[in-house]
Amino acid sequence: MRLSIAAEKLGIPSVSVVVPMFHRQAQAVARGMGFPGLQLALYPGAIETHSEEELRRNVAGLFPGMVAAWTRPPEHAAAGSVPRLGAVALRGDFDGINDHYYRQGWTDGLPVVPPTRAKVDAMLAWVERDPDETIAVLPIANRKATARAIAINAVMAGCRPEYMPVLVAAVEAMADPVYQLKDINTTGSIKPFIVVNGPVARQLDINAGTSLMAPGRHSNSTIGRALGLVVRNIAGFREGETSNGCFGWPGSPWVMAEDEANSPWPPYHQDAGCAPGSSAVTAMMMMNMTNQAMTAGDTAEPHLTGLCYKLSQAFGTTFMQMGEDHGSMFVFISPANARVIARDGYSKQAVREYLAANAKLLVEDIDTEFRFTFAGSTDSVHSMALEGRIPREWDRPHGEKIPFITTPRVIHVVVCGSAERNRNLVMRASYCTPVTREIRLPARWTTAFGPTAS
Amino acid sequence: MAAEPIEALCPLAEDAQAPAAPARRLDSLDGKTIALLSNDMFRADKVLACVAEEVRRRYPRAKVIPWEEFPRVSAMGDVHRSVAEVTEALRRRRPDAVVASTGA
Repeated sequence: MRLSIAAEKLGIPSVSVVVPMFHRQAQAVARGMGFPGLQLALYPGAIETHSEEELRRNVAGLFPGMVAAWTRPPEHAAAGSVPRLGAVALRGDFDGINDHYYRQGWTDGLPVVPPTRAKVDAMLAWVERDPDETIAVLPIANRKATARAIAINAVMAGCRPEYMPVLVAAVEAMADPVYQLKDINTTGSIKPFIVVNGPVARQLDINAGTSLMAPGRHSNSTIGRALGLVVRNIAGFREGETSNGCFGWPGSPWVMAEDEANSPWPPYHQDAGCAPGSSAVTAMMMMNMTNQAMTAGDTAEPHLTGLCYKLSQAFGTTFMQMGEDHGSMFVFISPANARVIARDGYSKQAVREYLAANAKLLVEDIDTEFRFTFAGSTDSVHSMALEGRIPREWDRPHGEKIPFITTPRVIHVVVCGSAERNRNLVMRASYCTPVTREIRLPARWTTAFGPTAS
Repeated sequence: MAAEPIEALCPLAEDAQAPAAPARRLDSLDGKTIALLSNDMFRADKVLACVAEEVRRRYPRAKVIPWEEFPRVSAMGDVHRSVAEVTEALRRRRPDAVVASTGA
Protein backbone atom coordinates (compact mmCIF):
# COMPACT_ATOMS: atom_id res chain seq x y z
CA MET A 1 0.00 0.00 0.00
CA ARG A 2 2.69 2.41 1.04
CA LEU A 3 4.61 1.87 -2.20
CA SER A 4 1.51 2.63 -4.25
CA ILE A 5 0.82 5.73 -2.21
CA ALA A 6 4.43 6.86 -2.69
CA ALA A 7 3.89 6.55 -6.46
CA GLU A 8 0.56 8.40 -6.40
CA LYS A 9 2.18 11.24 -4.45
CA LEU A 10 4.71 11.54 -7.28
CA GLY A 11 1.89 11.69 -9.83
CA ILE A 12 2.41 8.12 -11.06
CA PRO A 13 -0.79 6.05 -11.37
CA SER A 14 -0.56 2.87 -9.35
CA VAL A 15 -2.34 -0.32 -8.45
CA SER A 16 -1.64 -2.58 -5.48
CA VAL A 17 -2.19 -6.32 -5.58
CA VAL A 18 -3.75 -7.36 -2.28
CA VAL A 19 -4.81 -10.68 -0.79
CA PRO A 20 -8.31 -11.16 0.62
CA MET A 21 -7.23 -11.18 4.29
CA PHE A 22 -5.90 -7.67 3.86
CA HIS A 23 -8.40 -6.17 1.44
CA ARG A 24 -10.38 -4.14 3.97
CA GLN A 25 -7.24 -3.29 5.83
CA ALA A 26 -5.71 -1.98 2.61
CA GLN A 27 -8.73 0.24 2.07
CA ALA A 28 -8.42 1.54 5.64
CA VAL A 29 -4.69 2.20 5.32
CA ALA A 30 -5.25 4.04 2.04
CA ARG A 31 -7.99 6.14 3.58
CA GLY A 32 -5.88 6.86 6.65
CA MET A 33 -3.00 7.98 4.45
CA GLY A 34 -5.22 10.35 2.50
CA PHE A 35 -5.83 8.19 -0.60
CA PRO A 36 -9.30 6.72 -0.15
CA GLY A 37 -9.58 5.89 -3.86
CA LEU A 38 -6.31 3.94 -4.09
CA GLN A 39 -6.65 1.25 -6.73
CA LEU A 40 -6.51 -2.35 -5.51
CA ALA A 41 -6.36 -5.61 -7.47
CA LEU A 42 -7.79 -8.33 -5.27
CA TYR A 43 -5.94 -11.64 -5.68
CA PRO A 44 -8.40 -14.50 -5.10
CA GLY A 45 -7.80 -17.06 -2.35
CA ALA A 46 -4.91 -18.14 -0.14
CA ILE A 47 -1.93 -17.34 -2.35
CA GLU A 48 0.56 -19.25 -0.21
CA THR A 49 -1.26 -22.52 -1.03
CA HIS A 50 -1.54 -22.02 -4.81
CA SER A 51 0.51 -23.79 -7.46
CA GLU A 52 2.52 -21.69 -9.89
CA GLU A 53 -0.04 -22.43 -12.59
CA GLU A 54 -2.94 -21.32 -10.39
CA LEU A 55 -1.01 -18.21 -9.50
CA ARG A 56 -0.31 -17.39 -13.15
CA ARG A 57 -3.95 -17.94 -14.07
CA ASN A 58 -5.16 -15.75 -11.20
CA VAL A 59 -2.82 -12.89 -12.07
CA ALA A 60 -3.89 -13.10 -15.73
CA GLY A 61 -7.46 -12.76 -14.52
CA LEU A 62 -6.56 -9.68 -12.54
CA PHE A 63 -4.74 -7.96 -15.36
CA PRO A 64 -7.69 -6.29 -17.17
CA GLY A 65 -8.69 -4.70 -13.87
CA MET A 66 -5.15 -3.51 -13.36
CA VAL A 67 -5.17 -1.87 -16.79
CA ALA A 68 -8.43 -0.16 -15.87
CA ALA A 69 -6.87 1.03 -12.62
CA TRP A 70 -4.00 2.64 -14.52
CA THR A 71 -6.17 4.21 -17.18
CA ARG A 72 -9.54 5.18 -15.60
CA PRO A 73 -9.97 7.86 -12.98
CA PRO A 74 -10.76 6.27 -9.60
CA GLU A 75 -14.29 6.66 -8.39
CA HIS A 76 -14.48 8.77 -5.27
CA ALA A 77 -15.77 6.80 -2.32
CA ALA A 78 -18.84 8.31 -0.71
CA ALA A 79 -17.91 10.38 2.31
CA GLY A 80 -20.33 8.50 4.56
CA SER A 81 -22.00 9.92 7.62
CA VAL A 82 -19.48 9.43 10.39
CA PRO A 83 -20.59 11.44 13.42
CA ARG A 84 -18.19 13.99 14.84
CA LEU A 85 -16.16 13.10 17.92
CA GLY A 86 -17.86 14.34 21.07
CA ALA A 87 -21.16 15.10 19.36
CA VAL A 88 -24.23 13.44 20.83
CA ALA A 89 -24.42 10.09 19.09
CA LEU A 90 -27.68 8.99 20.67
CA ARG A 91 -30.24 10.02 23.30
CA GLY A 92 -31.71 6.99 24.99
CA ASP A 93 -31.54 4.56 27.86
CA PHE A 94 -28.64 2.32 28.87
CA ASP A 95 -29.77 -0.65 26.79
CA GLY A 96 -30.62 1.42 23.72
CA ILE A 97 -27.27 3.16 23.79
CA ASN A 98 -25.44 -0.13 24.21
CA ASP A 99 -27.32 -1.68 21.31
CA HIS A 100 -26.54 1.31 19.10
CA TYR A 101 -22.84 1.46 20.05
CA TYR A 102 -22.49 -2.27 19.48
CA ARG A 103 -24.12 -2.07 16.04
CA GLN A 104 -21.81 0.80 15.11
CA GLY A 105 -18.78 -1.33 15.98
CA TRP A 106 -17.73 1.05 18.75
CA THR A 107 -17.59 -1.53 21.58
CA ASP A 108 -15.56 -4.64 22.33
CA GLY A 109 -18.76 -6.67 22.57
CA LEU A 110 -19.28 -6.06 26.26
CA PRO A 111 -21.68 -3.44 27.63
CA VAL A 112 -20.13 0.02 27.92
CA VAL A 113 -20.72 2.91 30.25
CA PRO A 114 -22.57 5.56 28.18
CA PRO A 115 -20.11 8.43 27.72
CA THR A 116 -22.04 11.47 28.89
CA ARG A 117 -20.64 14.96 28.79
CA ALA A 118 -20.45 15.08 32.61
CA LYS A 119 -18.47 11.83 32.81
CA VAL A 120 -16.15 12.90 30.01
CA ASP A 121 -15.55 16.29 31.65
CA ALA A 122 -14.69 14.51 34.91
CA MET A 123 -12.04 12.54 33.02
CA LEU A 124 -10.66 15.67 31.35
CA ALA A 125 -10.23 17.33 34.76
CA TRP A 126 -7.31 14.96 35.37
CA VAL A 127 -5.37 16.07 32.28
CA GLU A 128 -3.91 19.54 32.17
CA ARG A 129 -4.08 20.11 28.44
CA ASP A 130 -6.50 21.39 25.82
CA PRO A 131 -9.09 18.63 25.37
CA ASP A 132 -8.99 19.05 21.60
CA GLU A 133 -5.24 19.29 21.14
CA THR A 134 -3.89 16.39 19.10
CA ILE A 135 -1.78 14.29 21.46
CA ALA A 136 -0.91 11.73 18.83
CA VAL A 137 -2.05 10.37 15.49
CA LEU A 138 -2.68 6.64 15.64
CA PRO A 139 -2.30 4.29 12.69
CA ILE A 140 -3.80 2.65 10.77
CA ALA A 141 -6.78 5.00 10.41
CA ASN A 142 -4.47 7.94 11.24
CA ARG A 143 -7.07 9.60 13.42
CA LYS A 144 -6.39 12.25 16.03
CA ALA A 145 -6.01 11.03 19.60
CA THR A 146 -7.07 14.05 21.62
CA ALA A 147 -7.64 14.05 25.37
CA ARG A 148 -11.37 14.21 24.62
CA ALA A 149 -11.25 11.16 22.34
CA ILE A 150 -9.27 9.20 24.94
CA ALA A 151 -11.64 10.34 27.71
CA ILE A 152 -14.78 9.22 25.87
CA ASN A 153 -13.33 5.77 25.32
CA ALA A 154 -12.10 5.65 28.92
CA VAL A 155 -15.60 6.38 30.22
CA MET A 156 -17.00 3.63 28.01
CA ALA A 157 -14.44 1.19 29.47
CA GLY A 158 -15.44 2.03 33.04
CA CYS A 159 -12.25 3.86 33.99
CA ARG A 160 -12.04 6.15 36.98
CA PRO A 161 -11.13 9.74 36.07
CA GLU A 162 -7.76 9.52 37.82
CA TYR A 163 -6.62 6.87 35.30
CA MET A 164 -6.46 9.51 32.56
CA PRO A 165 -2.77 10.46 33.00
CA VAL A 166 -1.81 6.79 32.55
CA LEU A 167 -4.01 6.51 29.47
CA VAL A 168 -2.60 9.63 27.87
CA ALA A 169 0.99 8.44 28.42
CA ALA A 170 0.05 5.01 27.05
CA VAL A 171 -1.43 6.53 23.89
CA GLU A 172 1.66 8.69 23.43
CA ALA A 173 3.82 5.57 23.71
CA MET A 174 1.68 3.52 21.33
CA ALA A 175 1.80 6.31 18.73
CA ASP A 176 5.59 6.24 18.49
CA PRO A 177 6.43 4.71 15.06
CA VAL A 178 9.00 2.31 16.55
CA TYR A 179 6.24 0.69 18.59
CA GLN A 180 4.70 -0.33 15.24
CA LEU A 181 1.07 -0.18 16.29
CA LYS A 182 0.34 -0.37 12.55
CA ASP A 183 1.39 -4.03 12.63
CA ILE A 184 -0.95 -5.32 15.32
CA ASN A 185 -3.29 -6.39 12.54
CA THR A 186 -0.92 -9.17 11.50
CA THR A 187 -2.50 -12.56 10.86
CA GLY A 188 -0.02 -13.84 13.44
CA SER A 189 -2.15 -12.07 16.11
CA ILE A 190 -0.71 -9.45 18.43
CA LYS A 191 -1.96 -8.21 21.77
CA PRO A 192 -0.69 -4.85 23.05
CA PHE A 193 0.01 -4.50 26.75
CA ILE A 194 1.21 -1.84 29.12
CA VAL A 195 3.68 -1.94 32.03
CA VAL A 196 3.32 0.82 34.61
CA ASN A 197 6.27 1.80 36.79
CA GLY A 198 6.75 4.24 39.64
CA PRO A 199 4.54 5.43 42.49
CA VAL A 200 1.48 5.84 40.26
CA ALA A 201 1.28 2.05 39.90
CA ARG A 202 0.90 1.67 43.64
CA GLN A 203 -1.40 4.69 43.99
CA LEU A 204 -3.79 3.30 41.37
CA ASP A 205 -3.59 -0.24 42.80
CA ILE A 206 -2.24 -1.72 39.58
CA ASN A 207 -1.43 -5.37 40.19
CA ALA A 208 2.26 -6.38 40.01
CA GLY A 209 1.89 -9.71 41.78
CA THR A 210 -0.11 -12.90 41.53
CA SER A 211 -2.24 -13.12 38.35
CA LEU A 212 -1.20 -9.62 37.35
CA MET A 213 -2.15 -10.24 33.71
CA ALA A 214 -5.58 -11.63 34.62
CA PRO A 215 -8.76 -9.62 35.17
CA GLY A 216 -9.78 -8.68 38.69
CA ARG A 217 -8.29 -5.33 39.72
CA HIS A 218 -10.32 -2.33 38.63
CA SER A 219 -7.33 -0.35 37.33
CA ASN A 220 -5.72 -3.26 35.46
CA SER A 221 -8.98 -4.25 33.82
CA THR A 222 -10.48 -0.91 32.89
CA ILE A 223 -7.29 0.82 31.74
CA GLY A 224 -6.61 -2.17 29.51
CA ARG A 225 -10.16 -2.13 28.20
CA ALA A 226 -9.91 1.59 27.48
CA LEU A 227 -6.75 1.02 25.45
CA GLY A 228 -8.61 -1.65 23.51
CA LEU A 229 -11.35 0.85 22.70
CA VAL A 230 -8.74 3.46 21.74
CA VAL A 231 -7.19 0.92 19.37
CA ARG A 232 -10.67 0.35 17.92
CA ASN A 233 -12.18 3.84 17.77
CA ILE A 234 -9.12 6.03 17.33
CA ALA A 235 -6.54 3.78 15.67
CA GLY A 236 -9.25 2.07 13.61
CA PHE A 237 -8.56 -1.64 14.18
CA ARG A 238 -11.60 -3.88 13.99
CA GLU A 239 -11.41 -7.65 14.01
CA GLY A 240 -12.09 -9.24 10.65
CA GLU A 241 -11.79 -5.91 8.84
CA THR A 242 -8.62 -4.10 9.77
CA SER A 243 -7.38 -6.45 12.47
CA ASN A 244 -6.70 -9.87 11.06
CA GLY A 245 -5.25 -12.16 13.68
CA CYS A 246 -5.84 -15.62 12.27
CA PHE A 247 -6.90 -16.85 15.72
CA GLY A 248 -6.61 -13.62 17.73
CA TRP A 249 -6.01 -13.41 21.47
CA PRO A 250 -8.68 -13.25 24.16
CA GLY A 251 -9.59 -10.10 26.04
CA SER A 252 -8.49 -6.50 25.91
CA PRO A 253 -4.92 -5.29 26.00
CA TRP A 254 -3.73 -5.90 29.52
CA VAL A 255 -2.14 -3.54 32.02
CA MET A 256 0.32 -4.58 34.70
CA ALA A 257 2.90 -3.08 37.02
CA GLU A 258 6.44 -4.12 37.85
CA ASP A 259 6.98 -5.40 41.41
CA GLU A 260 9.56 -2.76 42.20
CA ALA A 261 9.37 -3.37 45.96
CA ASN A 262 10.47 -6.98 45.55
CA SER A 263 12.86 -6.56 42.62
CA PRO A 264 16.62 -6.67 43.20
CA TRP A 265 17.20 -4.45 40.17
CA PRO A 266 16.32 -0.88 39.17
CA PRO A 267 12.82 -0.70 37.66
CA TYR A 268 12.19 -1.05 33.93
CA HIS A 269 11.39 2.62 33.29
CA GLN A 270 14.79 3.62 34.66
CA ASP A 271 16.38 1.29 32.08
CA ALA A 272 14.49 3.39 29.53
CA GLY A 273 15.95 6.63 30.89
CA CYS A 274 13.29 7.83 33.33
CA ALA A 275 14.38 9.39 36.57
CA PRO A 276 14.15 7.46 39.84
CA GLY A 277 10.88 8.29 41.57
CA SER A 278 9.10 9.16 38.32
CA SER A 279 6.17 7.20 37.01
CA ALA A 280 5.98 5.89 33.48
CA VAL A 281 4.11 3.69 31.08
CA THR A 282 5.80 1.31 28.67
CA ALA A 283 3.86 0.05 25.69
CA MET A 284 4.78 -3.50 24.70
CA MET A 285 3.06 -6.16 22.59
CA MET A 286 2.84 -9.93 22.60
CA MET A 287 2.75 -12.23 19.58
CA ASN A 288 3.30 -15.52 21.37
CA MET A 289 4.30 -16.77 24.79
CA THR A 290 5.78 -19.76 26.51
CA ASN A 291 4.29 -21.60 29.43
CA GLN A 292 4.82 -20.04 32.87
CA ALA A 293 7.75 -22.30 33.54
CA MET A 294 9.38 -23.10 36.85
CA THR A 295 13.12 -22.82 37.30
CA ALA A 296 14.59 -24.05 40.56
CA GLY A 297 17.86 -23.66 42.42
CA ASP A 298 19.75 -21.37 44.76
CA THR A 299 22.24 -20.22 42.12
CA ALA A 300 21.68 -18.18 38.94
CA GLU A 301 22.68 -20.96 36.53
CA PRO A 302 19.52 -23.10 36.44
CA HIS A 303 17.30 -20.03 36.21
CA LEU A 304 19.29 -18.51 33.34
CA THR A 305 19.51 -21.87 31.56
CA GLY A 306 15.76 -22.27 31.91
CA LEU A 307 15.19 -18.81 30.50
CA CYS A 308 17.43 -19.56 27.49
CA TYR A 309 15.40 -22.69 26.86
CA LYS A 310 12.15 -20.74 26.98
CA LEU A 311 13.51 -17.98 24.72
CA SER A 312 14.28 -20.60 22.09
CA GLN A 313 10.69 -21.87 22.37
CA ALA A 314 9.42 -18.33 21.76
CA PHE A 315 11.44 -18.02 18.53
CA GLY A 316 9.68 -17.45 15.22
CA THR A 317 11.13 -16.85 11.76
CA THR A 318 9.75 -13.33 11.56
CA PHE A 319 11.79 -12.45 14.66
CA MET A 320 14.95 -13.23 12.70
CA GLN A 321 13.72 -11.66 9.45
CA MET A 322 12.90 -8.38 11.11
CA GLY A 323 16.56 -7.82 11.86
CA GLU A 324 18.29 -6.03 14.66
CA ASP A 325 16.21 -3.75 16.85
CA HIS A 326 12.85 -4.52 15.25
CA GLY A 327 11.60 -7.40 17.37
CA SER A 328 11.46 -7.87 21.12
CA MET A 329 11.69 -10.65 23.67
CA PHE A 330 9.95 -9.93 26.96
CA VAL A 331 11.24 -11.82 29.98
CA PHE A 332 9.08 -11.78 33.10
CA ILE A 333 10.89 -13.13 36.13
CA SER A 334 9.21 -13.70 39.47
CA PRO A 335 10.83 -11.81 42.36
CA ALA A 336 12.00 -15.04 44.03
CA ASN A 337 13.97 -16.07 40.94
CA ALA A 338 15.24 -12.54 40.28
CA ARG A 339 16.67 -12.37 43.80
CA VAL A 340 18.64 -15.59 43.32
CA ILE A 341 20.00 -14.42 39.95
CA ALA A 342 20.97 -11.02 41.38
CA ARG A 343 22.58 -12.59 44.45
CA ASP A 344 24.98 -14.39 42.12
CA GLY A 345 26.16 -11.04 40.84
CA TYR A 346 24.03 -10.55 37.73
CA SER A 347 22.80 -7.06 36.98
CA LYS A 348 19.79 -6.83 34.68
CA GLN A 349 22.12 -5.92 31.81
CA ALA A 350 24.27 -8.96 32.58
CA VAL A 351 21.15 -11.12 32.44
CA ARG A 352 20.25 -9.69 29.03
CA GLU A 353 23.77 -10.29 27.74
CA TYR A 354 23.78 -13.86 29.03
CA LEU A 355 20.44 -14.65 27.43
CA ALA A 356 21.35 -13.13 24.05
CA ALA A 357 24.58 -15.14 23.96
CA ASN A 358 23.23 -18.43 25.26
CA ALA A 359 19.69 -18.80 23.93
CA LYS A 360 20.36 -21.02 20.91
CA LEU A 361 18.65 -23.18 18.30
CA LEU A 362 19.82 -25.88 15.92
CA VAL A 363 20.53 -24.45 12.47
CA GLU A 364 18.41 -27.14 10.81
CA ASP A 365 15.44 -26.30 13.02
CA ILE A 366 15.55 -22.66 11.91
CA ASP A 367 15.92 -23.71 8.26
CA THR A 368 13.00 -26.12 8.61
CA GLU A 369 10.81 -23.37 10.01
CA PHE A 370 11.64 -21.09 7.08
CA ARG A 371 10.83 -23.90 4.65
CA PHE A 372 7.40 -24.76 6.03
CA THR A 373 6.40 -21.14 6.72
CA PHE A 374 6.80 -19.50 3.34
CA ALA A 375 5.95 -21.01 -0.06
CA GLY A 376 9.05 -21.16 -2.20
CA SER A 377 11.10 -19.38 0.46
CA THR A 378 14.79 -19.20 -0.22
CA ASP A 379 15.53 -17.78 3.24
CA SER A 380 17.79 -19.88 5.43
CA VAL A 381 20.41 -19.23 8.06
CA HIS A 382 23.05 -19.44 5.33
CA SER A 383 21.30 -17.06 2.91
CA MET A 384 20.52 -14.54 5.63
CA ALA A 385 24.14 -14.56 6.79
CA LEU A 386 25.33 -14.06 3.20
CA GLU A 387 22.95 -11.12 2.80
CA GLY A 388 24.18 -9.58 6.03
CA ARG A 389 20.77 -9.88 7.68
CA ILE A 390 22.23 -11.88 10.57
CA PRO A 391 25.81 -11.98 11.86
CA ARG A 392 28.23 -13.79 9.56
CA GLU A 393 29.45 -16.04 12.39
CA TRP A 394 25.96 -17.56 12.67
CA ASP A 395 26.47 -19.23 9.28
CA ARG A 396 27.12 -22.69 10.72
CA PRO A 397 26.35 -26.17 9.37
CA HIS A 398 23.40 -28.31 10.35
CA GLY A 399 24.04 -30.12 13.60
CA GLU A 400 25.31 -26.97 15.33
CA LYS A 401 23.41 -24.53 17.49
CA ILE A 402 23.53 -20.79 16.94
CA PRO A 403 22.17 -17.77 18.85
CA PHE A 404 19.20 -16.03 17.32
CA ILE A 405 19.06 -12.79 19.33
CA THR A 406 21.26 -10.22 17.64
CA THR A 407 21.60 -7.84 20.56
CA PRO A 408 20.75 -7.79 24.29
CA ARG A 409 18.89 -4.55 23.57
CA VAL A 410 15.88 -6.48 22.29
CA ILE A 411 15.52 -8.38 25.57
CA HIS A 412 13.30 -6.62 28.11
CA VAL A 413 13.28 -7.84 31.69
CA VAL A 414 10.41 -7.11 34.08
CA VAL A 415 10.24 -8.47 37.63
CA CYS A 416 6.66 -9.35 38.49
CA GLY A 417 4.26 -12.15 39.35
CA SER A 418 3.82 -14.14 42.54
CA ALA A 419 6.55 -12.86 44.85
CA GLU A 420 7.42 -16.20 46.40
CA ARG A 421 6.93 -18.53 43.45
CA ASN A 422 9.80 -19.55 41.17
CA ARG A 423 8.31 -19.12 37.71
CA ASN A 424 9.19 -17.18 34.56
CA LEU A 425 7.34 -16.25 31.40
CA VAL A 426 8.77 -15.33 28.00
CA MET A 427 6.92 -13.51 25.23
CA ARG A 428 7.94 -12.53 21.71
CA ALA A 429 6.84 -9.71 19.43
CA SER A 430 8.45 -9.68 16.00
CA TYR A 431 7.28 -6.19 15.15
CA CYS A 432 7.66 -4.17 18.32
CA THR A 433 10.19 -1.97 20.02
CA PRO A 434 8.76 -1.00 23.43
CA VAL A 435 8.24 2.69 24.05
CA THR A 436 8.32 4.31 27.50
CA ARG A 437 6.63 7.62 28.27
CA GLU A 438 6.68 9.42 31.59
CA ILE A 439 3.25 9.98 33.14
CA ARG A 440 2.53 13.68 33.53
CA LEU A 441 0.45 14.23 36.63
CA PRO A 442 -1.93 17.12 37.23
CA ALA A 443 -1.55 19.39 40.24
CA ARG A 444 -4.53 17.75 41.90
CA TRP A 445 -2.70 14.42 42.01
CA THR A 446 -0.73 15.28 45.16
CA THR A 447 -3.92 16.35 46.92
CA ALA A 448 -5.59 13.08 46.06
CA PHE A 449 -2.72 10.65 46.47
CA GLY A 450 0.05 12.41 48.38
CA PRO A 451 3.62 12.92 47.15
CA THR A 452 4.41 11.48 43.75
CA ALA A 453 7.96 10.35 44.54
CA SER A 454 8.58 6.80 45.79
CA MET B 1 -41.57 7.95 36.59
CA ALA B 2 -39.52 7.50 33.41
CA ALA B 3 -35.77 8.15 33.72
CA GLU B 4 -34.26 11.09 31.83
CA PRO B 5 -32.73 9.92 28.55
CA ILE B 6 -28.97 9.71 28.52
CA GLU B 7 -27.05 11.74 25.93
CA ALA B 8 -24.11 9.59 24.86
CA LEU B 9 -21.17 11.05 22.95
CA CYS B 10 -19.57 9.68 19.81
CA PRO B 11 -16.22 7.93 20.50
CA LEU B 12 -14.87 7.95 16.93
CA ALA B 13 -11.84 10.19 16.50
CA GLU B 14 -11.41 12.52 13.55
CA ASP B 15 -9.15 11.94 10.56
CA ALA B 16 -5.77 13.64 10.80
CA GLN B 17 -5.37 13.95 7.05
CA ALA B 18 -7.59 15.36 4.33
CA PRO B 19 -7.99 13.18 1.21
CA ALA B 20 -5.46 13.84 -1.56
CA ALA B 21 -6.12 13.70 -5.29
CA PRO B 22 -4.92 10.52 -7.03
CA ALA B 23 -2.41 10.72 -9.85
CA ARG B 24 -3.70 11.47 -13.33
CA ARG B 25 -4.42 8.21 -15.16
CA LEU B 26 -2.89 7.13 -18.51
CA ASP B 27 -4.74 7.12 -21.83
CA SER B 28 -3.25 3.70 -22.68
CA LEU B 29 -0.45 1.37 -21.59
CA ASP B 30 0.87 1.18 -25.14
CA GLY B 31 4.52 2.21 -25.20
CA LYS B 32 4.53 3.10 -21.51
CA THR B 33 6.99 2.06 -18.79
CA ILE B 34 5.62 0.12 -15.86
CA ALA B 35 7.58 -0.26 -12.63
CA LEU B 36 7.11 -3.43 -10.61
CA LEU B 37 7.53 -2.94 -6.85
CA SER B 38 7.80 -5.81 -4.40
CA ASN B 39 7.42 -5.74 -0.63
CA ASP B 40 8.64 -9.32 -0.42
CA MET B 41 5.31 -10.50 1.00
CA PHE B 42 2.83 -13.13 -0.19
CA ARG B 43 4.88 -14.37 -3.15
CA ALA B 44 5.22 -10.86 -4.50
CA ASP B 45 8.04 -11.78 -6.83
CA LYS B 46 5.97 -14.51 -8.48
CA VAL B 47 2.95 -12.21 -8.81
CA LEU B 48 5.04 -9.49 -10.40
CA ALA B 49 6.70 -11.92 -12.80
CA CYS B 50 3.22 -12.91 -13.99
CA VAL B 51 2.22 -9.24 -14.33
CA ALA B 52 5.34 -8.64 -16.43
CA GLU B 53 4.35 -11.57 -18.68
CA GLU B 54 0.88 -10.11 -19.17
CA VAL B 55 2.27 -6.65 -19.96
CA ARG B 56 4.64 -8.06 -22.58
CA ARG B 57 1.97 -10.27 -24.09
CA ARG B 58 -0.74 -7.63 -24.37
CA TYR B 59 1.39 -4.48 -24.84
CA PRO B 60 4.53 -5.49 -26.75
CA ARG B 61 5.72 -1.88 -26.98
CA ALA B 62 5.47 -1.33 -23.22
CA LYS B 63 8.57 -1.56 -21.01
CA VAL B 64 8.82 -3.12 -17.60
CA ILE B 65 11.24 -2.15 -14.83
CA PRO B 66 11.68 -5.27 -12.67
CA TRP B 67 11.50 -5.07 -8.89
CA GLU B 68 15.16 -6.04 -8.57
CA GLU B 69 16.09 -2.63 -9.99
CA PHE B 70 14.51 -0.90 -7.00
CA PRO B 71 15.81 -0.86 -3.41
CA ARG B 72 14.91 -3.96 -1.46
CA VAL B 73 11.72 -3.50 0.53
CA SER B 74 10.65 -5.79 3.30
CA ALA B 75 7.35 -5.31 5.03
CA MET B 76 9.14 -6.88 7.97
CA GLY B 77 11.72 -4.20 8.65
CA ASP B 78 12.19 -0.47 8.56
CA VAL B 79 9.27 0.29 6.25
CA HIS B 80 9.64 4.06 6.51
CA ARG B 81 13.22 3.94 5.30
CA SER B 82 12.40 1.42 2.56
CA VAL B 83 9.54 3.54 1.24
CA ALA B 84 11.75 6.64 1.24
CA GLU B 85 14.38 4.79 -0.79
CA VAL B 86 11.84 3.52 -3.30
CA THR B 87 10.32 7.00 -3.59
CA GLU B 88 13.73 8.35 -4.48
CA ALA B 89 14.23 5.61 -7.07
CA LEU B 90 10.81 6.31 -8.61
CA ARG B 91 11.66 9.98 -8.80
CA ARG B 92 14.85 9.06 -10.65
CA ARG B 93 13.41 6.39 -12.98
CA ARG B 94 10.10 8.17 -13.56
CA PRO B 95 7.96 5.23 -14.78
CA ASP B 96 4.52 5.92 -16.29
CA ALA B 97 2.74 3.47 -13.98
CA VAL B 98 3.41 1.31 -10.96
CA VAL B 99 2.16 -2.02 -9.68
CA ALA B 100 3.00 -2.94 -6.09
CA SER B 101 2.67 -6.44 -4.64
CA THR B 102 1.56 -7.86 -2.32
CA GLY B 103 -0.47 -5.79 0.15
CA ALA B 104 -0.59 -5.80 3.34
